[in-house]
Amino acid sequence: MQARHLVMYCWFGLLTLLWVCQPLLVSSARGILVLALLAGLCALLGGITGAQPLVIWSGGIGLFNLTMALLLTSAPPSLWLGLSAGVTLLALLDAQQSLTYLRHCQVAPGVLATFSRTLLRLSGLSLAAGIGVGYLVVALHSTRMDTQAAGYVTILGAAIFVGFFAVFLLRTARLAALKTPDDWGETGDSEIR
Amino acid sequence: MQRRNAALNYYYFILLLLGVVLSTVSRRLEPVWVILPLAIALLYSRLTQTTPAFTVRCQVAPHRAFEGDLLTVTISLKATTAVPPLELWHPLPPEATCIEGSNRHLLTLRPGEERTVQHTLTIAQRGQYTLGRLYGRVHPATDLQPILLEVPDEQVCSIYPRIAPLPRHLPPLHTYASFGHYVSRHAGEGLEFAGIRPYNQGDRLRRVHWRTSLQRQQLYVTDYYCERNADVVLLLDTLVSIGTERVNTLDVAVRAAASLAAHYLYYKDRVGLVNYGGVCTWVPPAVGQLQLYRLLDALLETRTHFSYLSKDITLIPPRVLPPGALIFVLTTFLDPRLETALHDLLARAFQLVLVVLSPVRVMPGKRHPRQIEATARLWHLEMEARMQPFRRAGVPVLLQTSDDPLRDLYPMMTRGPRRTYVPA
Repeated sequence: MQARHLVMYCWFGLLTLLWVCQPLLVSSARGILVLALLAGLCALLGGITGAQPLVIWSGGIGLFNLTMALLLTSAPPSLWLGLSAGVTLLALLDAQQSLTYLRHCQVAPGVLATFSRTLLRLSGLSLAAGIGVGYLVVALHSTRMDTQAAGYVTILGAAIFVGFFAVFLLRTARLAALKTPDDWGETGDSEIR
Repeated sequence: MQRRNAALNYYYFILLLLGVVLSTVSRRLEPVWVILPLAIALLYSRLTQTTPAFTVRCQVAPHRAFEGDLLTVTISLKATTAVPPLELWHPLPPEATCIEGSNRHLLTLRPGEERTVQHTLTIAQRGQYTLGRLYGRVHPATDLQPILLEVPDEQVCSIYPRIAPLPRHLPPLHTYASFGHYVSRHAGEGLEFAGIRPYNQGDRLRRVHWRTSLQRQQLYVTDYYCERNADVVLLLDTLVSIGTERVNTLDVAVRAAASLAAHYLYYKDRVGLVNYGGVCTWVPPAVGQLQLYRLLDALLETRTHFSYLSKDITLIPPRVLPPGALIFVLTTFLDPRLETALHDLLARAFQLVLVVLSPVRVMPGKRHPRQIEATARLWHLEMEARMQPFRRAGVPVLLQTSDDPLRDLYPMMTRGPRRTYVPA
């Protein structure tokens, strides 16, 4: 049991390090470094205390940091940098959830393997989707649009993307009458969400 | 079983929104690629919606236990289809502690698989607890839209007060001719051998001692000592309870009462119980194992009922307080209303034993040892002064000095002569 805990903590630490170091691959400016440290601190605190919002905060700070680093260096677009950062973020969130389970539950053999399989499947799908998006952007770029029109198209595309997701999530939202045990307000471990 | 959105959905969507905004503002594609796996996870959780089929049963054993005893909770699962990671939670009352295993389980099942998981718990405080209700969460694919379930396999477990064995027996003054552990000086019906004497008119034939009769060529019969037992009544002061929910004087009194009841019932005495408080309840004296459980059930329900009215002890029927009974009074002596009742009992020639429980031992919060010692000494002085009339009347008074209030009972009861009560 302790060995499993140790392995999970090591895995979580490795993912945090990878996530924090992504912007530093592009730039090592002082501001970027400070933001990277902040993101790492948030992730570690979230992992140790089991507070998911902290890991999400780390995700937000890291995303902002990466964008700033890319803007500052004007590096050429890199599919692998973005996708690896995305997969790392997903794995980080997943590892935090697994850590919470390990801390509070008696985990039967085979459960963590199931979680890993799902993560691998999602990573594979993300890779395919990322390459698809890359091709789409390249195809759009070759249509020779003027700068103003390209800006409008980008804003429109982003709005459509977010709008589609919002509608999709609302349509498929399940607000069941049955609450999660933690919502009952009973004393005990309520970190699992 | 019902599906429900996990909080993670909102977090993912916020990150997705942030990524799109940053990508649009910075005109870089990388932020979109970063949030792409999160978007895929959101889509994937919605598009793969399998509902697993399985049954869950929960069994708690035993249903009757004493404080600190181990209770085993067995959860049996039987899957019809494959079950993705399933989280089962057995909520425990605050008084319970999981000793072995965990009350939260996370497992997966293959089609047709049966599995049993167990955890052992202990409950530190008397009461009736409802255990066995399970809450479950199935995580198909991702953790974003779990399926929730509730298994209402509720079972009521009675946790009786802990019984501590008394090191020595304290025989009562008054006994009655009945079957029991006390042996009379007079011959009569019983099991203890008293002697052999010549046969008299009216002696029963089954008592003839044939060996002696053949030796002496005259009929001899065996004599036995008469057996006797006593009436013991436990008078529990439920007017006041000092302490916290977990540690209070009433619980200490209840444990002492349970120990005394078990002890005297073992010696085949008739034991009864009177809860003297705002609401006066009682269990008439009787013998046997069944009576022990009757008393324990009554002690389980014992609570402090605050009332400005005090019940008159004379209203308690004589079958509950038989004449000459040995009465153990378990009290904090903080409510003066009990004093009147005790004087009344003394006037009716009951044999009283006062066990005064110390509130110092259950005081909440951490205090300095010197402060505790000073409080204990003050309490002791005050109680000594208040107990003087009872001591003068020959009533043994035991002031609690350790965690076990009955520890010094034997030396105290065997010390000094008993005096008769003279009403003031």
